[in-house]
Amino acid sequence: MEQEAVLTGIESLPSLIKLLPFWPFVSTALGNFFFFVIITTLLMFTLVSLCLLIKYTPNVLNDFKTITNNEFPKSGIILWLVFIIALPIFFNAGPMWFTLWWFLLLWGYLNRLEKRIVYVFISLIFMSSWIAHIGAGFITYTQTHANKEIFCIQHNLGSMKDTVTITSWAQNNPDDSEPINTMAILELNRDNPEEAINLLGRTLDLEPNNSRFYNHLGIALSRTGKSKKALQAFHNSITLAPKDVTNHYNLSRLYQSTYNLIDAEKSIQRASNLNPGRVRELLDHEAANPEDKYVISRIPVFTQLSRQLRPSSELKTVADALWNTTFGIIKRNASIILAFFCIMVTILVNYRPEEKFTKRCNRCGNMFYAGDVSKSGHPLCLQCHWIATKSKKQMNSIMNNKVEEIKKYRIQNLLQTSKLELILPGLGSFIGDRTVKGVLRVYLFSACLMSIITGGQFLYSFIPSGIDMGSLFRMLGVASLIVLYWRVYNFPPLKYGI
Amino acid sequence: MALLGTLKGFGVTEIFQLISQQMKTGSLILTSPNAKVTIEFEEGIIIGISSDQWLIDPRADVLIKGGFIYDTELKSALDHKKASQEWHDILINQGKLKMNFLEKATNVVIKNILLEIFQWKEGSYRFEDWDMDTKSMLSCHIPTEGIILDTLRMIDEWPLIKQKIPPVDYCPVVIIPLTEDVVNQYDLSESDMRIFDLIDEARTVENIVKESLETQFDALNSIVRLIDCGLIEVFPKGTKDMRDYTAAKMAFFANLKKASVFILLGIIITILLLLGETRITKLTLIDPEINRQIIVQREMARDFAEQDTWLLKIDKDSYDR
Repeated sequence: MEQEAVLTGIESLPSLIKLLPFWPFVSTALGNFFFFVIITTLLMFTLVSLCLLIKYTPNVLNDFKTITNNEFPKSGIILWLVFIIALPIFFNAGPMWFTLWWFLLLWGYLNRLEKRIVYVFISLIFMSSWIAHIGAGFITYTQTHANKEIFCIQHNLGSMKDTVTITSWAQNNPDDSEPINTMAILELNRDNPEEAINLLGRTLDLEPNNSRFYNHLGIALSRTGKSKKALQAFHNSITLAPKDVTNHYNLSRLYQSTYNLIDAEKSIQRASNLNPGRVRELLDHEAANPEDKYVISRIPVFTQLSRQLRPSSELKTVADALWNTTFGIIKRNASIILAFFCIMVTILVNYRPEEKFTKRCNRCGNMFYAGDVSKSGHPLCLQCHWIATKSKKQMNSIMNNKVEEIKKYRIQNLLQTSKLELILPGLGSFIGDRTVKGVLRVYLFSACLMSIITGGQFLYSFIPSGIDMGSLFRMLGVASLIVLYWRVYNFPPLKYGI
Repeated sequence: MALLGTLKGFGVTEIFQLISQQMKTGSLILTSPNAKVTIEFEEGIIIGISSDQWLIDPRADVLIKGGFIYDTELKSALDHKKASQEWHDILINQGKLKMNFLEKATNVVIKNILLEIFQWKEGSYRFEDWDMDTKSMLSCHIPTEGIILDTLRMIDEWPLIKQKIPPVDYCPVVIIPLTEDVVNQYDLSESDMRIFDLIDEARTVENIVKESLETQFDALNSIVRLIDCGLIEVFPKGTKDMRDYTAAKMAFFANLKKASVFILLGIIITILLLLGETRITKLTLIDPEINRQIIVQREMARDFAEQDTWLLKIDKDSYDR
């Protein structure tokens, strides 16, 4: 029900373009996109690790039996295996710990492409601290650096509470020029240009190259009748941002107020050269509201986006919370150490001889220890590797038996992988050693799932946009899922004769 | 025509395969740092093998170790050896050796030497297509491709079997007698059954391997397989009298060992449940701090919506009045 108050129905897509100048919308849209991509990717890695677990558990079980010399009951060995697989469950571990644990557990069994997936995952862990920081920047966008108050006041939506907050923020953060500029705008609105001039003087001390501050100073000075100084301020703003229409427009208004109509016309002409539509819009507005003379430059969206990503205690808390939700156990700032530790583990396991790990032959399906690897990186038993090097003409009865065994396994594998692919798109592909296809299908499946469950909406614009994209995303998700299953059904992971 | 090179560039399998495919006749001389082996081919089929490490006929060694002939009998046969008669012909004529034992010994020797050379990583080879002296060679008739497949299978499976081989001085004991049902149930091969027949509670694993006249790989594979099926068990040699007591003790410890798998697992799980901080019990998928932030956003949005403030309705510009 709460959602209904926020989302008020689907409007036309062109409305989206009208929303682009508004920071709450842009921040929310970017945040939702960011979280959609990140959560889909994480879900994909979890599903991939699950696929690999299903694929290699028989190999691990075989090795467990071999290591224990078959002296222990099979049920006991299976229970131990389940325990080892589920070990992170006993700790305050997020879903990514399971994924990481399974990847490391299966490292010795993985083929070349699967190992690359693990490396990508480890690099994600390496960057996870920064990813959590960016995510937290999007989540806390209303709570940090007085951003919400700046936006509301500059858009004439500010309440008394916002004024108090911005004043307090400006006092506590004297080096932050944007809140002081916002206070200056407040003073201009209160018809107190002298105080605005004082405040703008402070902002220009902090940021002497900010054209918006000069523009506002020009407005404040013109209100006090200091036309020469105002003219200088507007000229400064134009020097710093010659392509800003607002600066030229405000200068023309100043010339007009001092009856310098020629220069006023020149300035308007320059503004029109830059953006005639915008100038027409401003002139029309002035014609309708003669008292609205000068245009105040609002804080640009990019400035607010960069402000919301600046470090703060609120942002740090949420970034830690994000990391804790996905990983946990260790602190966020230890993520780089964790990534290095994972790399070390993989290097150490690489030193263990290949023949210590059970492998399943890609051709005949037999388990083996000492074999070879095909050109595509798939395990081959020595018999199949040898047969692969022979032409059909050289087949004899001995080899025909082996070839029959291979054919039988292929048919069985084809049926099995096709069924598994329908249970989880990508699972059959992984089991059939079609890793790239598997990754693509798992990723698409994850994206569909996330679209359907969340509708692509993780964050909310604190000022409602009036556009509901959730239903559209859900419909897209369902349609994509149908297409994916159609493709999975018609194009199974393996084909006859391949 | 001669073909020569090193084994680093061209493996033994490939050389055999080439000779087999081309159906060549001639001699392949393989030289490693430790041995030199000559293999005679006729139209791609192996017809003879010799090694410079064989001081005497290697079959004699296999037969003596397996207890099929005695040292003295061999010496006597070698002493009476003539140009037209080999030592084994003499022993066969005397009825001291059976022809099928000799054939099996030949098979063991050939397979062992081939298994060895297939694993050579360094050395050189030379193939010469003129007739060689085959008198000093061990004669055989083996399809090359068949032996390649067999040998590769052995190399493939050896690491798995190696780990399960019982101590060679232990004696296997029959636990379940062999019946037709058992053979069908476990799909036992002829080799498995021959090994089973040799088990008499007195022979050690080593003796059984020698007396089986099978290759080491096949004999040990059968023993491991019979143990895995639970048809036999192995006990230390010389403990026949104490076997019942030992068996009972071993059975107890074996059961204890089996039980310990579950007990240890239970203990570890209990400790982890007590000391660990499992997340499942918290029933929180998302950290409360994140939820709080989202709730704040939604509440703000609801407040603005109640005030009928929408982004699309906000003026594009603000003006100084």
